[in-house]
Amino acid sequence: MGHEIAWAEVRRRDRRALEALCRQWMPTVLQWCCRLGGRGLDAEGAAQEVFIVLLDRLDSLDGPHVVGSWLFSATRRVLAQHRRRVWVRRWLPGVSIDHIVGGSNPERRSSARSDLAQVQDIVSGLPPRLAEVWVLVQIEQRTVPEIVDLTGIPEGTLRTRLRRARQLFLAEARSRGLVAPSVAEVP
Amino acid sequence: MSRSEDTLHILLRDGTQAGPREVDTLVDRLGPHLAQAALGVRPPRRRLVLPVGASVVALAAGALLMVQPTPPPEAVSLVATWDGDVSGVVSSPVEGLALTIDGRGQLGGSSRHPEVRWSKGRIGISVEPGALDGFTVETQEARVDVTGTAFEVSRDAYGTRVTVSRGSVDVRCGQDQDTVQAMTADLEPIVCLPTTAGGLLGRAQAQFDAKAPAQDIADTLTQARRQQPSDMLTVEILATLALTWQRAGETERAWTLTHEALSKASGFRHDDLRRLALDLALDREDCAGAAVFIDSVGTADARSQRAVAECPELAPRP
Repeated sequence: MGHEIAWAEVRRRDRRALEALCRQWMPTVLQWCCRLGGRGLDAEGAAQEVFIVLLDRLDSLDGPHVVGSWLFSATRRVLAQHRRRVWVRRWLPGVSIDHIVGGSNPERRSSARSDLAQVQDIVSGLPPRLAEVWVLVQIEQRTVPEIVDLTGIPEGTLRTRLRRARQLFLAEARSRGLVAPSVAEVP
Repeated sequence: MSRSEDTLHILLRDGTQAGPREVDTLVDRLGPHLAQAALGVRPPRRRLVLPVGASVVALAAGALLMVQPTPPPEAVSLVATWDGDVSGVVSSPVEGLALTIDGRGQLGGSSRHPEVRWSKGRIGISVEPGALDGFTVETQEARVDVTGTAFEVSRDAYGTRVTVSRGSVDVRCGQDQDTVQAMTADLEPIVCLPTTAGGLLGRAQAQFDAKAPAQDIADTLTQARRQQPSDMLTVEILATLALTWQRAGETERAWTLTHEALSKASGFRHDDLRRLALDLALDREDCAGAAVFIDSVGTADARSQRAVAECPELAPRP
């Protein structure tokens, strides 16, 4: 995860250490928001909210070893709140999803109408508990112990969820013509 | 074009990779919060704290009430968690009890009086008469007590629905749970409404999706507002209410609510509401109102073109 942050400095609320902590984890959290939130969600806004909560609750963190799982759990909660907001967007007149997709990243914006948008739609259509496991394994290629540590999900449950998520993802990708019908079923 | 599964993974991985400039921008935007945190200044606590605190107290009180004073010697503690991974008949930890689940919840209590805390989905319960001292199913908005019967509890965005197929149960709705409704197989199912502002908003949105009458949706949202939600949730409630009345043709009500929401909204939601306001201004044939919000859409947008057609004075000057 790049350079190590001196935790004692963070506990002392040293401004530079706090900024380094945010900078270290921002890419990870932003990617979680983009991958788990779906196209209609303001991923940058959600990521920022996660860090505002982090700065507000620094005292509740026991040490650097819990930062990842703490942030993952905060991201889950913030995304759940944002999904509620997305409902309203569906019904508002003239709201184009594209202007919030990817925020300030032009590459992400321009690809929003492509297959990537469809993949994001499929992932955001999965039940959140399945989507998070699928993203951590298939997209972020994390190991099982790492995910157990991050999410607190028991290993057996994790494997069951992953299998189910892959089945659902492949079925939907097939129905959209994104993968060939010959692509093997999930065992 | 058909791709392999791996290609789709790579597509999503690369397409959602956080770039260094994005990260810089976001960390820069955290500046005031970093400064506050460095000074040790804690921003004002969110209003959420009070309801959460209150519900913790209520849960603790509820738990105390549910404790068996002297459990029979043969009673053993039960602990199980259903994460939504299992669906169908589950092996029952207690003789005389049959459980069918499709959702999430936790089993606790004792083998003489099992207690289920149900979060989402459906749970079917069949208890043989005399097999247990009692059986309790609790959701956030309902508590169902039973001795010998068969019933189902389902929880979704609409609330908690209790259906009895044999025998009778006592149902308590709401946080106070002081009103007991006796429920038997020949009666219509009882629906306990959500008790939190967020839960009620979810119910209203499900009603909206199902094209329920506007007044029913408005009633649900009025209840949600009584819970004194945060500003963020209030904006969502007002926006949902405005959309409801707009769809019902009650333009004036929708207009007033949109303005109220606008006064509390920020960020992209503020922009969304300005678009809604433009739409409503045109429905009201209010060119002055439309002039205030026309910059919320691009000139190529259908709303902009409609605005110019109906209010020529809004046409961009050459």
